[in-house]
Amino acid sequence: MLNKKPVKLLALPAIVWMGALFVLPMLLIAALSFLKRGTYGQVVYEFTLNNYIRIWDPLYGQIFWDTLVVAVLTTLLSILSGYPLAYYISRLEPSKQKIWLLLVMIPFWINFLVRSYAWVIILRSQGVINTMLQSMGIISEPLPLLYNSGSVLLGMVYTLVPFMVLPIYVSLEQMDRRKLEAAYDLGATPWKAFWHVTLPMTKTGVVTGSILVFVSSIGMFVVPDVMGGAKSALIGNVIQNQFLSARDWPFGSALSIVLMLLSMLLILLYFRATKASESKEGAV
Amino acid sequence: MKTIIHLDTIEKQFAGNVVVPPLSLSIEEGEFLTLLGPSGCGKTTLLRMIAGFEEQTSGEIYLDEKLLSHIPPYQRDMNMVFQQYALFPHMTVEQNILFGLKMKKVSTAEQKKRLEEVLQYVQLTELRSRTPKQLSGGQQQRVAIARAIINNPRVLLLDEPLGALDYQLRKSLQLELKNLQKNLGITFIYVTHDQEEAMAMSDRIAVMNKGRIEQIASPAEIYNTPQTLFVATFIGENNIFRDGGTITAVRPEKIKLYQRGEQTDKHKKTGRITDVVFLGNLRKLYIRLDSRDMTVMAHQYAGDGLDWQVDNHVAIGWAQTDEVILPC
Repeated sequence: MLNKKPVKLLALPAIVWMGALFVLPMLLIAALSFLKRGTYGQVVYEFTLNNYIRIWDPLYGQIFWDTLVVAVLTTLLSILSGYPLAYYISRLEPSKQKIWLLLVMIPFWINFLVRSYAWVIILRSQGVINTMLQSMGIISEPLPLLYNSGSVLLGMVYTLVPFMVLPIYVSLEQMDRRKLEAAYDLGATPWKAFWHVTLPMTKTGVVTGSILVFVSSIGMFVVPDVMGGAKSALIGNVIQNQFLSARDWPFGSALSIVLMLLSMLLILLYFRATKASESKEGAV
Repeated sequence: MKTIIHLDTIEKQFAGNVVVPPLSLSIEEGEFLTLLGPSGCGKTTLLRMIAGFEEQTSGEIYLDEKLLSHIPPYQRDMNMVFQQYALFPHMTVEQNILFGLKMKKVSTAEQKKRLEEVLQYVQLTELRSRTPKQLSGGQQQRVAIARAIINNPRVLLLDEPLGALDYQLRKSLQLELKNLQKNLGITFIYVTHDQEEAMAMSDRIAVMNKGRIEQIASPAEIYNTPQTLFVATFIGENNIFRDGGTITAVRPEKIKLYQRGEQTDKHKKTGRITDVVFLGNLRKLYIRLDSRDMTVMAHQYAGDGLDWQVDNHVAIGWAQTDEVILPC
């Protein structure tokens, strides 16, 4: 038997780390959200619920809603583009799999901001695509490829799709291929076997990937800032502004807390929904 | 007897390595045929080619005289019971069993009727809404069989279906499987490395070695008149005597022991008993021959009134009819 004491000690650095850098700041933010802002942007230590009341302004409701829509669409598009890629990789020879997984991860090595600006260079009016299409005479006026919700979505999916590919790849790898043969043996065409066996058996990967992508996209502010222009502010941008420009830390904190609670609620609902479908799933 | 499956000089190579050299085999309708051999002998590859999971490098496969080559597994009228069963973990017992019928779009009424029949047949009615994880190995095995036979396949392929179970359960399921096959009248092609299992169930056994079929015959024939040295030594125990150009095999139970000096012309060799192993209903005697570097094994049955001990000097012999001459 493993002695429990040393194991506990080994966990200590991580516990201290998480406590100091995650739990403590969270508590600070929570506390901050109930305080007042002074005239010059300083924090006044007086209790108030005003920050939360302010959020009920339809302006913020709209931004929250837009953020959710973008996050849900990002997650869906990531599943639709990430699953086939993960499937393709899992069917390659092991040596080729390594190369492809590396290619999926390489973008992480390049600064996120740099990658976002690279997209700007590709998509803007005098960008790579527009100049090419114009010189080929296909279009006369540059296409509005940048600074709209489409470009935000593109940027989000581009940034977050690896978080979808990797967990799905892992669950595809772990799946026993004989289950698939059993499905063929019982008369399932490849497509039916995928739908009734592979997909339900790799659901864990899709759920994990969805949560990673959803949570990351809900708080994203760099992509909408760089690729969305002024029009498409998401809640992440509003929070960033409250802290950095408006110097209203208490209100920024309140927005953060609401955003966090909202994501937790949605993830909970998502878990419930996927759990509930588990019993029905097999009903071919 | 009508041929149901015919393999016509089929060959399998993996990346240039010959796994199954060209072989032909006819399987008769309603028979229980076992492919028996050590691991790596090509028996599973042969089964997977019949099922359609592997494509043969050359040669053709016929089912009911119809060419089966290049037809995908989901269009072949046979079903397989997989090693480790390969049940669908996200489905209940019932959903697992119904999978084949749903894929073939059999009417709901017919599905229901056949489900009840099969559930009763394999005694799983009470466990129908459990998932595979909640079942014992033996129960999972029943689900795997039920999932296959509900489709009324022309042929049932079984890939070491009892391999994952413990000895006692294996024994009782051997009998059950044999009875199932008799009652359903379905052709069984059964792959195993366990000769006891093969002996207990099969109508015919194809003994395989290095991708080749060494001998195909009834269990009794295989045991009593092996045609090759491999079959003689792989099936049961055998004493192999090499005399110049001939190889003679004599089963241990056919070896008779005599006191030395007991003069009979049956005596062929003399030796000394080196070990006596007690096995309950019989004792195995190991006799070191005087004439050459060889140990002969003989059986002494309980109640035959003889009591041989270690270090007894003995003479051994056997009847001419009990020896099998093998090709070199």
